[in-house]
Amino acid sequence: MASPKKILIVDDEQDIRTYLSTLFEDQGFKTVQARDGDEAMKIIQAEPPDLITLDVSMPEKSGVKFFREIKTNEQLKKIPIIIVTGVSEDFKGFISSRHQMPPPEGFVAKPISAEEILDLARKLT
Amino acid sequence: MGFYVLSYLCIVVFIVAAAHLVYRQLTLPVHVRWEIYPVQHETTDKLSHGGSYMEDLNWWEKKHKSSLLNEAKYMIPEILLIRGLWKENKSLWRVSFPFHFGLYLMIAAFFLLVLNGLVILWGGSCLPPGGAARGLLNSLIVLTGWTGLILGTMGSVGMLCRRLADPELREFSSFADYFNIAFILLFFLFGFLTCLSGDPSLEGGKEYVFGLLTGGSSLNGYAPGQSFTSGVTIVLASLLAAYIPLTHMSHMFMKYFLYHDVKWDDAPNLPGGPTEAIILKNLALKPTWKAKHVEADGRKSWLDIASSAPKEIK
Amino acid sequence: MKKILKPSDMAKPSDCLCHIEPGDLSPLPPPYEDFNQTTIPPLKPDRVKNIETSLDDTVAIGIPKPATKEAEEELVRQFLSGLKKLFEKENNWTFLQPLMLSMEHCAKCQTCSDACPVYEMSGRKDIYRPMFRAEVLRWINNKYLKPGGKITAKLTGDIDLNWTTIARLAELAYRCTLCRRCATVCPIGVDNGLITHEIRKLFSQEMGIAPKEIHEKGTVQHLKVGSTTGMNSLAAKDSVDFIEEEMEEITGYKVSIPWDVEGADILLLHNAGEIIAWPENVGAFAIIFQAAGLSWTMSSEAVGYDAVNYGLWYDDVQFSRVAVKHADIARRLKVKKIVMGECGHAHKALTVIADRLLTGGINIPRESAMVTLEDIVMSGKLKFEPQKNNFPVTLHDPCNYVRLMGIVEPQRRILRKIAPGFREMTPHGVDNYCCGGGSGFAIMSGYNFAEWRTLVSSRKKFLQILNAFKDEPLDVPKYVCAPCSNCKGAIRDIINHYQAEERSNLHYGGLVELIVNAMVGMKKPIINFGDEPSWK
Repeated sequence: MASPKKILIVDDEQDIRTYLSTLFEDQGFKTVQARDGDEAMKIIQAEPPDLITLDVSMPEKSGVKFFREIKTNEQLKKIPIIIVTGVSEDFKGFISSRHQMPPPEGFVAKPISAEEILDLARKLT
Repeated sequence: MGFYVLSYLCIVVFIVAAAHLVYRQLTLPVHVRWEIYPVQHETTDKLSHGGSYMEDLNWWEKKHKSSLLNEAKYMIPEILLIRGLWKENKSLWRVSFPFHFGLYLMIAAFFLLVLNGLVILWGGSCLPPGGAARGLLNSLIVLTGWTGLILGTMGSVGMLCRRLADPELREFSSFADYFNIAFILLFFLFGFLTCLSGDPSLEGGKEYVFGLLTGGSSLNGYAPGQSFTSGVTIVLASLLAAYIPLTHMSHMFMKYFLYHDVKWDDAPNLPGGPTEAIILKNLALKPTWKAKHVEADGRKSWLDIASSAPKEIK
Repeated sequence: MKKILKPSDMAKPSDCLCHIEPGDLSPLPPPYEDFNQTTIPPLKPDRVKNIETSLDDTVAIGIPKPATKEAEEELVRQFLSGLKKLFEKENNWTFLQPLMLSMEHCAKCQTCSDACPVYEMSGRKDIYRPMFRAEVLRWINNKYLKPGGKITAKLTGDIDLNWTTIARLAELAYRCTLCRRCATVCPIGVDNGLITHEIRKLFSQEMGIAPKEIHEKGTVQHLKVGSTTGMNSLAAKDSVDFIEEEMEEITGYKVSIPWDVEGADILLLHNAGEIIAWPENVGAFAIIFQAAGLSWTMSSEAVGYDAVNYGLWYDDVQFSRVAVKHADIARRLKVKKIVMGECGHAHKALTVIADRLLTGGINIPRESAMVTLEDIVMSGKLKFEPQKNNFPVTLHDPCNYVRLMGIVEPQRRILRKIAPGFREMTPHGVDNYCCGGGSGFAIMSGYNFAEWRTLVSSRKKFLQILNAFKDEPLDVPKYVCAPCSNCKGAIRDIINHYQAEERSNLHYGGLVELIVNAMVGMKKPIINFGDEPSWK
């Protein structure tokens, strides 16, 4: 059996991280957590995950900046990212149409639908 | 004497009720701006398109200009001719204008009758009876009286029919709405009948107002209520005067506040200007709204609340 | 003949007091006749089984159904307590005088009904008459709060006060866009739109009832996270970085958007929604201000990077909190003035309504961007080739600029200079019609409210837009200039819903985009009438 896929959960809210982590692990994924973009970057550099779920509004380093850094980094840009955010719907259009980088692989609005995010996670790993 | 007593009472009610309404307006706290454009006292270059002084770059550095003339140009036709209704709702204007103009002419006739009484009392030497000035006064009384009564009767019949016939108006009208119009119609109708049935030059009116001015002295042996119709007219006119300020018909004079204190109240609060002190007084008031996010406890002022963020959502 | 609904009908139980049938809505011209039988899609029963839906075909708030009779009675008591507070200076000094005047002087002449686009377009549904909801409040107030009211109500208008009445009234307060066209035409000066505003306040300030988009996700999130978009300061700034770079591709030179520059002349306040929904608007402002050599800044402080103030629509307390925050940020940045970007309600909120709220150090002058931009465009500092805007353009007037603030001509003088294809809508200026998205509607889309908006409250605007371009061939690209975020949101939804881009080649955007598009020396056009941004 193949080793479980690893998902990096980046969110400043503990509740969300716990929720997602439980959700994914129940489905056989392995998870790691980071509170903001800076912490997430350290984790990735140590051991790249198979998938990232990424919040937008976070202290220290925002999801926007983190996303850009990943997607413009030749080694890391292949890691799929699901943006998981409470930011209004327009953000999806914005982050998906910037010429500096490709659109995110997935986009899930908060409050999170478990079914939606699991489907995406399975598809992208 | 009973008629005079009734009229005096009604006049007192009118004055007290109207003064109360006005006083209440004058003592309300200064509210936030809620003006609506066009603001008719704007200068002509702005008023032509409904603009405001805020269209100017750094407007707060300029002297605030306004135009009384422009305001008058709007207000006079608005008051006299009901211009707004003419523009927005012509079919209603056709009955509303004679109705309102009839009432104005009645008010004008009343003041001419008062003038006439004053002339009889004190002006006899400079304005002798039979002189041109008295002739003019008499003609004006006849003209305003008759025109007012005819227009008013037509207008109030029209208003009543319109309110009954037009389902849009009928379905939203209450008993009070019909009562008000019917009341005014009866007043016009009885005044009209009184004049028509033997008093074409409004002599009865002259004599009654003279009596009002003199505490009931009689002129030419007049006693109020000599005819049924004239008696009813006096009663209705008196009651109407007392009734108007107690109803929404007080818009006759309260419209001033609707326009000047709200629709056209564009006075800016300039930094360091006199309005700031008034605002601080308002901000010291202590609200008691119950929703949690307001966080009012009866002790916190608007200022305290406005400078804090809510902890709760609801 | 249809039965006319009266205010007293609000109290009578039924599943749906007012229903719009196919064909009721005002007809659309070709090539949109196929929408004429379209009506509001039914609410999904499982989604609405626990909320109040008995007013009409849609839901704006979604008030939970009280569980017990006692709970209903308690809510009725709360309502009356709130109603009383509307007439107390301690609680409502902000609007007491206008409210009292409008409560007491309506003659029910119905002149306002014909001025209301929601009433007209709905197929003249009685409950949408501007005076209808005002009358409900007047009748309740007369009967339940005035001495002898139970008796006088028989003569002046009798309404039962039960939970149904109240739940419907709360919803009905969100079927009016507060455009105040009705107040303009009232011969007496009564403002039935204001009464809608006061009803909303009563529900929010006393009972905590308001649509979640404007309260929870709106003012609360604004004060807590920093913006109603949900973006915190960092996310907003990082998003703006993209805009700077993309503008460089248009201009061919570096465009910088300054943050938190103390002592700048101007603090520019944008609706933060612009950053993510219409980034080129934020970029175009930067291009113009930079080219004109202005000393300006944006604020990255929480609340300061989002000009909106949803409190304007429903809650004086939340309104005051946001306004004070905006002004205080300007004070700390020591700017000479605040310039309001292309956002109508933010204009009126901070410039006009907050005027009698701000004192001392935070009473900093506020100016409309229309005025600032006019000065730049007319100054000769920038060079234009108007023929670059060689397409038909019409101007949508945000109510908050024109009727509610008197900012009418600056934007027109700009357009006449830079857009040769500019033509007016009918009517326009202070007589304009609302986009249908006013008073929060543009951001409200729960349940089927967005469909109600597009079909009913935005319909008049769509007809006006079509009419402005009726002499143009369908395939010519057309530009609706809507210098307001909310209006743009509503117009975007109109265009999508009616497939107006495919059918009429209809596009929309702000004013600054047109200005930049006409500027001499740009490497690429900023307006390009396609899905793809020009830099792709």
